[in-house]
Amino acid sequence: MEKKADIKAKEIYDEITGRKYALLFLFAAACVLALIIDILVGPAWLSIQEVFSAIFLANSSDPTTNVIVWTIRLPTALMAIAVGAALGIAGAEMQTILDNPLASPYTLGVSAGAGFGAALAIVLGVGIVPYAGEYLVSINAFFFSLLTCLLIYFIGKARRVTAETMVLAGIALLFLFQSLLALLQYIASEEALQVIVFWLFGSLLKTTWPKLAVVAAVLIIVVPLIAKDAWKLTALKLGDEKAKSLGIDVEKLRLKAFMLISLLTAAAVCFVGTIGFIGLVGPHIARMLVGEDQRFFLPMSALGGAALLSVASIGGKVIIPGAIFPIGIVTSLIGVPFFFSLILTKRRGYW
Amino acid sequence: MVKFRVPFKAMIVVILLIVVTAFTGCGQKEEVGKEQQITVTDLAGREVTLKAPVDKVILQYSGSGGGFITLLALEGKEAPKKIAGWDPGLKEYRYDMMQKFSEGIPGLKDIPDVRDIGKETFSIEKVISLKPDVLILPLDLYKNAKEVVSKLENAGIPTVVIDYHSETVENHTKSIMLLGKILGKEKRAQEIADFYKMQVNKVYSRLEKIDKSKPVVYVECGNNGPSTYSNSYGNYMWGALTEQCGGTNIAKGKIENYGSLNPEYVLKTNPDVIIITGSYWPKKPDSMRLGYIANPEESKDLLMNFTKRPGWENLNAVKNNRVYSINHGLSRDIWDFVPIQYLAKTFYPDEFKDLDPLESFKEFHKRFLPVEYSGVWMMSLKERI
Repeated sequence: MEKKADIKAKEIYDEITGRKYALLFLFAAACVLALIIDILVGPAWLSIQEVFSAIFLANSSDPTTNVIVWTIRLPTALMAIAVGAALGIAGAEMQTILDNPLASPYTLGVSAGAGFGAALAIVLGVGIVPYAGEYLVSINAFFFSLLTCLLIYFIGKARRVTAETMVLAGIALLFLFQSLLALLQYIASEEALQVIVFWLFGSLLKTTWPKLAVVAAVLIIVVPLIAKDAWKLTALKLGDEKAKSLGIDVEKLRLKAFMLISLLTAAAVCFVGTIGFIGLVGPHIARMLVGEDQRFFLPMSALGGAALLSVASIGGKVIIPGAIFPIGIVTSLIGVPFFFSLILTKRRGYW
Repeated sequence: MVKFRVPFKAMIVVILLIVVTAFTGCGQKEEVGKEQQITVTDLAGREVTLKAPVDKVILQYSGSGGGFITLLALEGKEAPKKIAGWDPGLKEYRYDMMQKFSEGIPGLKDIPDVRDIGKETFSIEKVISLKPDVLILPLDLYKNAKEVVSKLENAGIPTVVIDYHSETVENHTKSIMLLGKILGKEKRAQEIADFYKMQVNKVYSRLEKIDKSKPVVYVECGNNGPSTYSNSYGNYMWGALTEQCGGTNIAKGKIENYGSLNPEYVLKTNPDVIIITGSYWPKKPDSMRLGYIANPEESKDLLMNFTKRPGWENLNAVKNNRVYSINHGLSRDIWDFVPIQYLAKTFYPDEFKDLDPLESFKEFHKRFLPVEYSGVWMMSLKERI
């Protein structure tokens, strides 16, 4: 009897996890497909053959095609995947540790901090690191998003580290940095103002291989560290008390995860601008599809974010071929209808 | 009743006195009025009645075709005395001009800042307190500022609309004449307008006869330096000028007014001519530098850096050394005959061999501006054409 029940339970478990693996596989395939299309699409309308020969037989093709593929399309397309994944993960873990469906790098002021740092460089030419040249804006954005996180961290630490304190501190900082940003916009000249606005819209086209390398490196370092705590983070969703009773140092876990997410967010937004929507929606899509189990939730958020940003990148190039259409706008335009369709077709409450 | 009757003669005298005084009074008033009130039609097609010549004006778009350079040409070193207040445009993004002008023209630095009407930071109260006679407003700003205009009208300050931004000979001349008229400098204005027409017609009259294939042109504002592709222009500003001067603007139809092009698109269209506009953006050391305080070697190095962008070595423009730079602040103002001549000459070097835009610019300085020409305003990678 008992044995039979065990087998039955195992079957059900295998079926459920099998379905989740299938979904993960499906999204991974979607990411790869989006990546390939992203590389193939562009205002130069290169043929599939031209693109592939430029990638795989680097020196055989026309030099202009080579440059287009290697310095523009490949880094940009890969950046969409990397940034999408980073923001997806960051949003997922923020929602987990703060137990709040509205938490994302955007709602907690991290992006606003980055925007303020960028604007500071654009308007006043003031950098944190001297002689930063073309990286001035990115370094400033990176620094200020980390600063925002540190402030939230210390406010959280000074009081008892509860989710509520951190959310409230984050939202207060969001408003602080937004008004500082508005102040800079107010004093900015017309030309600088325009640069700020476009920075805030977000753009993947500023990507270069070194920038991509930085984001990729941060992803590679941070993701295993978060994944290591997957079980603990899953338990955290049961509530602080229950997690504590399972032997988890809730406050330490929360702070550690928070620092890792901050690093991830800062690296992602500093190069492409504030793309707020991915960090909020990527995790929700993942949660609807695979639930709270971090073993699936984490990779699914990353894949969801990556796929969404990659599709947005394609969309941005198709809307007005030739011009640069801001990625932040396309992301929301494509993401919101998709998100609504998920909310409306999902019957049970998932949060 | 009878006792109080006024003698008939006395009454006549009194009436006469009253009439005469009234007439002289009226006469005086009318005479003053003739001197002070004129009605002009401005560039928005409005009829405006105002006292003329005006003593004090408020300017907007001081750094980009808002009538400041015209005022400078009309009034010379006296210009600051005529300006009650202006926006910070010249100070903020025409660094070299501000530097040069305030060296040579006393009082320029002390003109009160009334902020920018387009940014909602414009202080109506401050404007009224400065007691100007008129607000000079560029057409595109006027369209969104009608509320402010009517408030100022209620306070007795009329608005006159000018327009250099549509870059037509007609509106340029009309704007010059209009400013001349309200400042009481019509003769001088006529000279400037004639000079302008003469200079642009050197291009437009000959351009009609050229029957060659048009060069494909990419124009970019050099404010961001080589690392980021900055604004190009659709059917607007430099984009419009490019088409007007016989080039094919690659941003046309891709961008409405201004915005960045996709680098890939620029590479693929393979332009014959590339123009990077320069100015003096102090916060961007790798931006393109031109203007009153630029030096040739530095500017050339900066322009050279743009050609080192990935893939640019294969572009026709770079291979054939047809990469040029011209001062950004020259467009959409009375001195835009300089870029018009320069663009035409870069597009059709043989046909415009005898045309010397730099010489025209120097002549404009000599004849109309209170400062001397200096620095570098246009350059090619080959040499100065």
